[in-house]
Amino acid sequence: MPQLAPMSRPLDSKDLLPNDPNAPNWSGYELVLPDGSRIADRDPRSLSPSGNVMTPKLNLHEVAAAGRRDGAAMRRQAAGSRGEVPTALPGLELNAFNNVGTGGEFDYQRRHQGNQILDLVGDKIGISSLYEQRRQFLPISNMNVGLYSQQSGLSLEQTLARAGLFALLFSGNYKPDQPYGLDPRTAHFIQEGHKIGQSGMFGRALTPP
Amino acid sequence: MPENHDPAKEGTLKRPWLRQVARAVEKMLLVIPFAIAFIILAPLLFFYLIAFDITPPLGILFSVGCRSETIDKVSGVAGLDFEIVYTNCDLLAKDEAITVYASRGQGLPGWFSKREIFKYTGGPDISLALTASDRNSVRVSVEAVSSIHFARDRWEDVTIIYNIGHIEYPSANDPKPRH
Repeated sequence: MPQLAPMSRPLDSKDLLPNDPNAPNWSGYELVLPDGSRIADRDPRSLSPSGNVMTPKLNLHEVAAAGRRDGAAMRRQAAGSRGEVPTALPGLELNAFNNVGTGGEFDYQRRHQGNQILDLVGDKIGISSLYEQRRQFLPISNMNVGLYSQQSGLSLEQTLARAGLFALLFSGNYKPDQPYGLDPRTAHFIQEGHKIGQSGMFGRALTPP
Repeated sequence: MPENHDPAKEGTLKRPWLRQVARAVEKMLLVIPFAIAFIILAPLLFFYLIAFDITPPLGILFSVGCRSETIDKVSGVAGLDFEIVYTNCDLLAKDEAITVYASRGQGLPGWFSKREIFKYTGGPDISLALTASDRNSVRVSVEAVSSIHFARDRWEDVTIIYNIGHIEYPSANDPKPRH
């Protein structure tokens, strides 16, 4: 007799509660861009009730502004530190991590209350209650990575290469057979975010170096 | 003696190589912690590769942004035990994957025999089924996946057959979707 092992179904689009922003399974708002367009999310794993990208905050302009601010800061540091210890690039990476990295300001798929680094370390040593996982916001979180990076002055290749390098060093889901080692769905939404940045809808990016 | 004469400054200027040496030593001191970390971690990485017979990316060792959760365990399918694990990784790029591990036996022998046989990009809400086709073959059925990391055709004496309904981002090495 065949033995069946159906997986548990902890979260399904039918389970999402549209009206409670504090619920871990809140579906969020549908992302509508200034030109009225939406970003499709029709992957088999999508938890979107509408088939489009959902977001807990309609604030892509803030993501873009943070990218421009951090890109400008990096250039100032680079210009003023000739012959000194080069801190501009590590500074940019740290800023990127603070904004769109694990539990960062614009990382909506992991919600937490405390310090970003301490919570990350705490989670690794087994304190599982530090993060609230919100898988439904994985697409918008990846889009934020693309938008933030584009506005800080990175080209699409640099954006994907940086995300791939972080995945290579720190992620168990690195895919060596894929471009930049990124999961295709992940890369797709990073590209979508980068494309939105290029469109100029949320301001003009710094010129790529 | 001219004005503003500073014997200490003059001494330093006469020995610019001393300043260079000091700078070199300073730089070396910065490198030492990384060198020590490498010396400790390199053998660990080597033994990891040998023990698991795979060539993982470094991220598996330092997967600081990943959270894993065992979703299901199934015992005695074609003589094997299976564990299904959901992993969500979040550094800059955010992704998630399901990994199916196979093992034979309980306790320490089971732990040592544990191997990844199937890994795909997907969430825990997509139903997956493991069935024994016969004594030496296992069928892995999943309705839809985003993409496939790897799928082993065989593990020890057990053949693994895949029955995948839909692959959103297929690649050349994937098992063929069912029709």
